[in-house]
Amino acid sequence: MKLPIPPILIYALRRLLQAVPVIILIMVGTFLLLKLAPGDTVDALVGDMGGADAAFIERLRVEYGLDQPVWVQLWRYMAKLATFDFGWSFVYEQPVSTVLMDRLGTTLLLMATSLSIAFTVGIALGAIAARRVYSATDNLISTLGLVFYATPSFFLSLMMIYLFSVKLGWLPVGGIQTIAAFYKGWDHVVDVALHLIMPTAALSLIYLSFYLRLMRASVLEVGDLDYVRTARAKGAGEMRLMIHHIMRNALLPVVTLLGLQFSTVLGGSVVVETIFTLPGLGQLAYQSVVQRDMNTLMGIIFLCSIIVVVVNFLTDLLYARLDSRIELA
Amino acid sequence: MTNLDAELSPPEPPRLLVFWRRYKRNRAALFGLAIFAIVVLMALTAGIVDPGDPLRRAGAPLTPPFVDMATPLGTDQLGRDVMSGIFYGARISLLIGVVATLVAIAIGVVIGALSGYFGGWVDDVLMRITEAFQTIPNFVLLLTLVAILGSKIEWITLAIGIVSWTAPARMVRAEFMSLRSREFVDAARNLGVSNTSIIFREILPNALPPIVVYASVIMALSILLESALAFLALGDPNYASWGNMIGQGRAVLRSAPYCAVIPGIAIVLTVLSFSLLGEGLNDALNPRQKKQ
Repeated sequence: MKLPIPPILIYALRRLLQAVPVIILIMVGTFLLLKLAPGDTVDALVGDMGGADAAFIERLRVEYGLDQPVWVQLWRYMAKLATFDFGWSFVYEQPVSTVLMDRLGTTLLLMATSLSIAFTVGIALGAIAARRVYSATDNLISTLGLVFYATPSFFLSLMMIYLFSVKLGWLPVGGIQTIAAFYKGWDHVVDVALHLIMPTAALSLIYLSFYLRLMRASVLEVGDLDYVRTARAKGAGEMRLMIHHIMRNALLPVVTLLGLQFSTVLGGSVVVETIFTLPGLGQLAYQSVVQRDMNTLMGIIFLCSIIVVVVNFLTDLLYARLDSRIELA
Repeated sequence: MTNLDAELSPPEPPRLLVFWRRYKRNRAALFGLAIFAIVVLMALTAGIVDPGDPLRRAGAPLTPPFVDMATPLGTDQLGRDVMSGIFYGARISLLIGVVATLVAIAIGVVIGALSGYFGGWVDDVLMRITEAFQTIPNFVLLLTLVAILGSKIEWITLAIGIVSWTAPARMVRAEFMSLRSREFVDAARNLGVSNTSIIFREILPNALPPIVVYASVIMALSILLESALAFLALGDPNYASWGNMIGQGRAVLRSAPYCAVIPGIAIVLTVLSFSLLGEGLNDALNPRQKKQ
């Protein structure tokens, strides 16, 4: 007897197989791109030491395998990557994987909170605007959506810092926790939450406008369909109509956008994390570009790609859950 | 279709006039056009209306706005005139926006056209590449490219184009897939027209309208990307840029918030004008889509 494999597992496996060539392509591309950069790790190290003689530099190159042709280096790097070995960060004096894992939590927390706020508030406001289309409420919501869409995240962040930290003094300017306080337990949670309010608000307000605008258009379109008219004729109230009939279909394009946009949001966290000095992957990406820490940068790109692939898989599951006509696998 | 025909007949007005009539129905789009015109005017007259070099000292440092007539919008911590920064910044923002959009559309059209027209393994390979570019967070890729190429304005523009071509590529591909088996394409093929000619002269003109509308989105995003780079001090230091002004205004946020606020408002209004322009173009080019 063969055990029946649930279709979702087969689907997951197939998606995994599809993602592998894309990730390999990204890593090979980035590796070759970074080889074009002037100077290598040894140059950076020798620069830090304040210079060294030619024989020593040559020995270092041999030690790091940098005397080999690019193809050999690429092969060695990819072979190590296959075992999730990202190499050594010469800036942090730690294995890259340790540096990345230290930072991953903060970014995931920031992503999870800001995307859930942006998504839920965005679809709620979009639905409200569409139900009262061309009214004062709709105009207000749509205008706010347009303005936030046009606001750069760093400008919004600075304005929030000015208002809430400089003028009102309610919220901390940056960091993930109060450094000298050593809060434990519940106090620690509250402290971290206070530090995350502004970065989360900055990210979610901007991406909220994307979901809001799409949801409004989508609800308007679905609201005109025959089955909605039938439901209304049958005597369904506005609330029931919205939640049971319109919402589910109107959500489909918004969920697609959520998946497509995720890599952009992750990129947006670079700016926000840098402004609020949050120790996450985005800030790390900026620092490794500035400090030429190429191993760490490669590791970040790899990790971010994996996160994007996973999130896209999850949104596809959500999509299939919303639209039962779509079959997985 | 019928009422559209009725509207156009019998003496058919010029296409531009029809376009303008449809466009001006949207009042927000008119507002967007007005702001856009102002920004273009500022970019063109930078150096004429406001003579100061935006990177030179023009007055006492941190003069607030509306105090000294020589520097109507005040000066920053190095005494540089904020107003000339805004004028010259408009030039750089528009320049980068337009050129980066052209680069992105050019790459997107070529990749999307090849993959939609030929299908098969060409499509498979090109779509894997597109997916790779979509998977890697675009701002991280942009930082990497700027780190490698350097902070010169040409390279920054190219890099912004390189990270923004995936969406137009997918749009062009979808259009080509639906158009490639139409009769006019078959007819051209039977007449012995070459593939290049079919792609660029037969199909592409039909696939362009949605791309034109989308160009306004890419333009807005390019300006935001450039300002974010400049904010992080990775922009070209030889040119005044709104993002860079905000980045430096951050240091004096407590005492002189206007240094960051004024260029920030400039960015918001410019990007807003592109969104409104895009919506107006969409209404004018796809009149059937909108139901009042």
